[in-house]
Amino acid sequence: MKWIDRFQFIRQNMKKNKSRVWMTILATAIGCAFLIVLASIGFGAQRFIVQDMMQDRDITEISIYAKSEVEEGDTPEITKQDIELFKEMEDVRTVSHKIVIQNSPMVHFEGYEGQSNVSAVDFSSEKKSGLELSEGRMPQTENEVLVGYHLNQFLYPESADVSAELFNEEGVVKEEYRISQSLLNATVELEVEQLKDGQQVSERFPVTVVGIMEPPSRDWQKSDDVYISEDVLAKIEAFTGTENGSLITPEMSEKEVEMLRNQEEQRTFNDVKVIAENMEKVESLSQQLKDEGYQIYSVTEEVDQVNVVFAVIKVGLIIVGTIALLIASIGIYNTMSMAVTERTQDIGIMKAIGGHPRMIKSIFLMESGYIGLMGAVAGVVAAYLISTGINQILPFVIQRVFNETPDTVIQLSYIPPYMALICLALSVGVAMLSGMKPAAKATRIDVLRALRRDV
Amino acid sequence: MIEVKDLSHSFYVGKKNKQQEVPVLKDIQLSIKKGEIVSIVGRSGSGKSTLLNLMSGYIKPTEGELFIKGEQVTHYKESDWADFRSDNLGFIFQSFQLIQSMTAYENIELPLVMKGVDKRDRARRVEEMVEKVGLASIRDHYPSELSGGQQQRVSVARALIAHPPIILADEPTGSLDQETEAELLSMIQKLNKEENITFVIITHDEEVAAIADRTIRFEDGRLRASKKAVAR
Repeated sequence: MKWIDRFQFIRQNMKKNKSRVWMTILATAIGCAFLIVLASIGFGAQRFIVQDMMQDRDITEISIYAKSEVEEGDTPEITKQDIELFKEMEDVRTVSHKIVIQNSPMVHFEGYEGQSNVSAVDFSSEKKSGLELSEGRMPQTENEVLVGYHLNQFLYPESADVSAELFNEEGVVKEEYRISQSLLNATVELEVEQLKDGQQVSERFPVTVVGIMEPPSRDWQKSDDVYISEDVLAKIEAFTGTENGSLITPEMSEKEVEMLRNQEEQRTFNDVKVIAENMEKVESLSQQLKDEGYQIYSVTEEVDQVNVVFAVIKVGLIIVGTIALLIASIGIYNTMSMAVTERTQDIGIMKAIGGHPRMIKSIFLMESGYIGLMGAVAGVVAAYLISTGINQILPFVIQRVFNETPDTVIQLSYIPPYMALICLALSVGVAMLSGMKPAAKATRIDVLRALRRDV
Repeated sequence: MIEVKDLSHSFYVGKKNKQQEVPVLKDIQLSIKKGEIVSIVGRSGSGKSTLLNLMSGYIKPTEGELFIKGEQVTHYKESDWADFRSDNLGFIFQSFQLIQSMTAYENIELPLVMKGVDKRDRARRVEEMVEKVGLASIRDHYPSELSGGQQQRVSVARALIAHPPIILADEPTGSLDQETEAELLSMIQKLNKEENITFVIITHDEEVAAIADRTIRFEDGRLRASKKAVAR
């Protein structure tokens, strides 16, 4: 018997008892949808938490805070030597680091001014470590700089009286005082102060803004960063006479001032990040750095822990969901057993005129598989609808119950495509397993009894 | 065409541990030639239906051997019998044994569907058969919508559709009136002449026995006499 004929035969048989077949399909669909939706909450919550953890971090990034054990006279902070050591390690793509100017320089531009957070960076390392620009390009010459996305919101008119009234509740300058034009391609001046011979003097360093960085990942973070080249840092240091442009204050003792002036060998780096070649190398590299005596943090460690927890939760949810599917399979077994009983005479006739037992078995197996497939398809569709519904309704529920508006999009339910495929296969498999016994029973039907003939 | 050698068959009746053997067929020797019409007659319980069931492969003999078309079929498995029946045997039953949920056309087509014959080829052969047995007007009717004679014609068409060389018929006229019976018998004679099909017919009916080349009489599980028909 050709497969197409078997399929048509099955459809014809199923039409004989539509309501029973539809009810069985419905039960399978409910079981399947229940399984997917349950699992989708595990997947969704995991994805949400992991994404939240990795929002402002690259998965290949290892942050280095300090050395955990230092000898006397040594600094726990990261120095040039350490940076060199990191760069020489295997599987390191790049080392990104910042030298924060210890001077709170003022940014001046066309009658506007504002304080900023100036750091000297190595632009090529930054680029390799994944620094993204919202506008413009990476600096190419020594006087070119990058600025934070919100820097222009920190600038206010020079003539304005610096008071709390200038700033809004978010800590940025109120709109009416803000500069209207973009800082891109503008030449701004960085004003650095220093105490020289008891006099407070300052100098302005003109730099050109060639790029504006992406906004920080968190809504509440405002970036007033200015990234300068190490050449501009050298000029600032030449003016201040101190390492990292450190500001000397009148309160400082001579000894302290002397220390600031003689830090040549002790330049320290902030925000040091070692970027691994790929995700797989992060673990070994983290271990290596720990062994070398550094305090580190990599998001993968945390993600790994979270993943283990969620793997357990998902297995639990899938087991519960599978129980629903198993209950549906009892329905399929029942339906198929009744179908075999009802069709005993037909099966007998078929066997009597040359129907092969294997063919009869395959027809019943296909029928139960078909019920499973239809149920699974309906279940997957229903699961996607329910999942979308949950994600749509969730913000309203949070707002109503907790009286809070979530600032990020929460996707509580997520169905990975492979989950839907696994469920389809599982459902068809379980359905065919349930159909095995009735199908075997069909092949064992005694021809003479079925034909109700006397032996 | 069909050779029966020393064939015996018994049934076992009663509770499992107290089963009694009831012999039904005893040492049957029979040879049926190609193109013969053989009728088997005998009283109820004489074993004639059992012989037909053995020839159909529905039951296995207790002793003896059975050859059909030169093949030793005695120890065939169920699946071997299925293939053998599909290729060589056609069946006509007293109670027609049509599938009630299928139309006359679909019932006739069924053996070809099970053999895996191509749909177009199937359609052509069924159309031809429907014309031949005069069922064109009722082809889309369900068995419950047909008269006994029409149902038996559908049953005959189904038996013939795959061109089997042997047709086994169990009381084919048992449910028919005289007129329809005559029609069916003339159809059997015609098919026998035109297509040289071998018929083995179980009957109580003298009319049926009359069209046979040979009539075999059964008595208490033994073959009593084999009578040649004088004229057909």
